[in-house]
Amino acid sequence: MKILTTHVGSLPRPHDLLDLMKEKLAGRQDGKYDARVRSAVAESVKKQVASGIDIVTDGEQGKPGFFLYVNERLEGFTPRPGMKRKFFPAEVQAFPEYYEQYFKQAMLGGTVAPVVPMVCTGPVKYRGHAALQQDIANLKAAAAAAKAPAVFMPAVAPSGVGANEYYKTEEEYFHAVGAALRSEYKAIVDAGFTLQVDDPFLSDIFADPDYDKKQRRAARACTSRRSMRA
Amino acid sequence: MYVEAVNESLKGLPEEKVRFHTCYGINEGPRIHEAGLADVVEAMLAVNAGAYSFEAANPRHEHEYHVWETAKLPAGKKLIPGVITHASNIVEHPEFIAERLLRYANIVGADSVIAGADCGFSSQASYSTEVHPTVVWAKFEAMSEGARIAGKKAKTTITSRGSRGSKAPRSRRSPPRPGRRGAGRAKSARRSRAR
Repeated sequence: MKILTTHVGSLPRPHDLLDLMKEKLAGRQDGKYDARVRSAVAESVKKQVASGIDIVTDGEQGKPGFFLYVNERLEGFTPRPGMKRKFFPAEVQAFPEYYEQYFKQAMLGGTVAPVVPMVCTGPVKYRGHAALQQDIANLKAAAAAAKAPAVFMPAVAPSGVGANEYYKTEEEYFHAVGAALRSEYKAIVDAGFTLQVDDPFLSDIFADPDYDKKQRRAARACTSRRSMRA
Repeated sequence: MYVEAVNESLKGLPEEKVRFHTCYGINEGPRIHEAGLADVVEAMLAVNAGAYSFEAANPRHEHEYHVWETAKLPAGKKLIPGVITHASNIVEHPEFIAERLLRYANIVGADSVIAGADCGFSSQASYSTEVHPTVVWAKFEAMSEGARIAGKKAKTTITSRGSRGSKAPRSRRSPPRPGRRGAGRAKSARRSRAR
């Protein structure tokens, strides 16, 4: 029997595309960016098919990264450059020297723009229709040209978007972000792709040192009961 | 609260057109404070998706395939375990990738398994990705070959056991662990899926 292959989504971007992305993010555009994203998606999909990937995607060639993508797609968020966020507190506390070096060199080193935390400061609305339709068109064309067997497109989960300072409760906030992102989810499925909801937050809940065992058990029970009702 | 919000945003979308990916944020690091899959699995399966993608190809999470011996994957849903990792430039050997896939196939059935990666290879647009671009493609080729090997071994079962053929040969199965909780449940779930 055949076991299908896929991957998670993001792939390295060509350096000349990164150069153009950098220019675009700095507010300088020379009209070459969109065409280069299109050709980079085509190259990426062709290479995925040639490498034996059955369920392909665009390699997120046009996305600069999680935080900037959120700012492009959702209204209601403000970049807060000076904001100090404690990433992976228990890990960093256990290995401070390792992570000081690692974050500089690996995860955040070499990015086209600084990773700036986003904060929800107003009502969340979806505003990414044009960018999303461009992504869909690029991927459709690339998949058809490469005769890709199947296609998926990732989109961020309601969690991965930034701290809430606007909604009264976290529950209200997650539902508002979820309602906004629904436009993106639906458009991806309507395009005939499989939607992949990217959610690093879920496993984070269970790793939070402030979250004791009792709360974890309650969270599990709560999520299960509610989903069964949905 | 949180999974409810995710499901609300997915309401009305066909489950077979939705897959859910969760991971841990850090790529290469000690990673000793991450939650185990056993903690996360119930909430993950509560998301209304047709397939679940998670980290399973690095030394912090590889052993967690045992979780599926007790966690029940609903009928018709699929697992996309990472069989290549984003946390190392070592290209996994296709035979080892096949082994990893067969561990899952043995538990949930090969038709419920898709070969995947632990996480993305460039979640930020970067000039210096942790896994070198040329290595990413080599990993994909290895995964494709590993999936072919695993598929062939799983297929052998059709003729040798006369069953639906979604399992690997019995000799490749993990030996039962004494006192494993829920082993009976997992076995009966396998039997009912095989029918």
